[in-house]
Amino acid sequence: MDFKKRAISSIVRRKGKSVILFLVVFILGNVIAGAVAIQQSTTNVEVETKKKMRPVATVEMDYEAYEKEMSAAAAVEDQAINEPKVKDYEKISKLPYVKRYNLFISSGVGTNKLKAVTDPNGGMSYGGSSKYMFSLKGYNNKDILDVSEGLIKLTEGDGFTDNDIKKGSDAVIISQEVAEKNNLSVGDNFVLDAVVEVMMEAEDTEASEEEALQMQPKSATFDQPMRVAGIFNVVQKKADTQQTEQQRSDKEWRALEQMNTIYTTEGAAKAIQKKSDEKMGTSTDEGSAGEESIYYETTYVLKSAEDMDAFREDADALLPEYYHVVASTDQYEQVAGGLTKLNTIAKYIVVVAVAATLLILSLVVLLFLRDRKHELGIYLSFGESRGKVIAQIVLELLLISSVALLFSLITGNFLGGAISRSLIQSDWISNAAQPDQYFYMNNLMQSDLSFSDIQQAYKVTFSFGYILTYLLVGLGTVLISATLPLLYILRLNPKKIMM
Amino acid sequence: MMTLLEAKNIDYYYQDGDQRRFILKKVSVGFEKGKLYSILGKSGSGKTTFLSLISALDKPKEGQILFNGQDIASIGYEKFRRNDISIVFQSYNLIPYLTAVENVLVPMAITENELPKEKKQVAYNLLNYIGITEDKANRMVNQLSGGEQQRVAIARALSMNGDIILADEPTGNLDEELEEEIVAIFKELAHKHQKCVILVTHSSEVAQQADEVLQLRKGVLSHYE
Repeated sequence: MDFKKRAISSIVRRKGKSVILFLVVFILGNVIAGAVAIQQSTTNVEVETKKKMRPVATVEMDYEAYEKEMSAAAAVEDQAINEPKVKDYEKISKLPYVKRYNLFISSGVGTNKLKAVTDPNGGMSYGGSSKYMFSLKGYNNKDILDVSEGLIKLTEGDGFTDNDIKKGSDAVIISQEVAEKNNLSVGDNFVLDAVVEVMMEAEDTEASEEEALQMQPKSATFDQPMRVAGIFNVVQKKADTQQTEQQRSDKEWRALEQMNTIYTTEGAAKAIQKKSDEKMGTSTDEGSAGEESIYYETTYVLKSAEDMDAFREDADALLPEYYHVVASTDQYEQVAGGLTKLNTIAKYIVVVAVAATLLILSLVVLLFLRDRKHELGIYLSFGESRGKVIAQIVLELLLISSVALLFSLITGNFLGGAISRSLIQSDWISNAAQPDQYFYMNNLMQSDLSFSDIQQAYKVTFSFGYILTYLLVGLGTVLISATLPLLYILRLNPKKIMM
Repeated sequence: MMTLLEAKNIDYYYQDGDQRRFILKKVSVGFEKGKLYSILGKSGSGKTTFLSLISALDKPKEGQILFNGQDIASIGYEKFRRNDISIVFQSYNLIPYLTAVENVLVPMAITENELPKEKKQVAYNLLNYIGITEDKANRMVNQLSGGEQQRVAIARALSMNGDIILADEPTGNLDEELEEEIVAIFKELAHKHQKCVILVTHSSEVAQQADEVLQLRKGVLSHYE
């Protein structure tokens, strides 16, 4: 009748106490299991969704941090912001997580003669003094990520040559639609009739707000000769029948913007910028394009979406103050804000339930041990080591708890699944998505992710991670809750009990 | 015959400020194998303290307890209890969720003494020897009478095969007839099985059936006259 047999006899023959202990662990176990299931499932859906998203990142100004700093130091004059230098972007491109990288000049150019694709519904209006508006991207590398990442497909021509890039030639890649509208083919030369809005003179700025609104902006034009080096098609994703009206509209707008994108060399983009600056009167240097007016954009394609956090941490450290990494996966947090909230709540529930289990279980076991004081005294008076007396109690606790935990592993999973599914359907969670906080992302970073996609992807399953996490948390809690009763056993004095 | 268990100049006291309140004072006594001893004393005489010291449940403030000439402190109190000494308590102190035979098996699993392989059979034999049938041996202890429970407690004390059996008021809860039977068992254990049996009692009738009667009075142990 060693301690193991005694433990089993105690469990089997002291049924009432075993059942009470079982119920305590089972009920609290359900709370822990449910919360762990929700927490695991929300984490899984995040990981899986992010894996499906293109792992792309860019660098942008952190307006939020800047504004926060400015409002905190209201009395202080606006602080000068150091923009990242090209070498900063290049340093980031050398981080081990980066698969491919593009640094390009990004600007917009208005035209009157070169026709852009317009919204057939007439919904798009650019305003300003030009009839059409194009996005202009000037590359210093012939490998354009928009092509290699499948956003656009080069259907005619070879695109840029090394020579084009080196010399900063006037080669452009335009969309099929723009080419058709302007009767252009590969090898054709054409003129980009850039329309520039001229800045108001100083005295004009003193006009009243009302007067300013009524004023027509002054404009100037200049011609930039161009040569078609390639024609692309926008790669359209399969239409999603579950898309909302807003999603469909966003998608159409992005496709239209993509069609009206002109890809050119960095040299050509700089030349356009220089002429533009001259016309606008903002050029500061007679000999070169105003570098300060050139807006560089970067795109980093990572090897894996799982590297995003590490990349962000390392890249942020290389950037000047108020600049930060914006990732394609950030859209997840934006769209799935409710799920993130649910994940946080589940984490809190786990912590609270573990704390409650520790307290309740410790007290229940301690209460039962006080009831068994004589029995423990008998073992000690027979010369049984305290280690084996403790082992008997821990074994009893573990056996009962293991069964209760296994049952609650199943029931808690169902419970967590049912609760989280109804919460996800509720407005409280689904309205937690933040469409108003939508921020600009280039087309390569955009995805059609919606909360309904996430709702559909959300599944509470018996994953290995769930089982392992729950059993580790559950058994760990039970073992820790045995500490207080064990201290009680260590302090037992057989003489005081028996005599 | 060689002394099996010996108390040498034992002092036991409680410190009360600067004062020492003595429970036992310079107690010296030896116990031999094959003899039944009784220690007689009124309540508060120190007999329970003396029992707790010789059963290694407590440590003397001064003096030594020797087993076969070796200080039990050097043997180890726990080890001494595990292998050399068994206690029979007045309130039996059986484990309530075990059967009679399982109670007897408990010390057999704890002791390091060499025991026959068929422990369960030995337990049945011991119970049978002191008058518990196999049918009763398989019952939960709370289904047995007081006398039967005390017999189970005695069988349990015998099961680890130590040399010394201590009994604290073993007949305190029993009627006269049962009292005689239990004392007879202790006598037989001492005389026939060469155990050293020490009974602590307040009953002079029980005490006087022993081979040697000792008396504790105000912490001083002497031969009963």
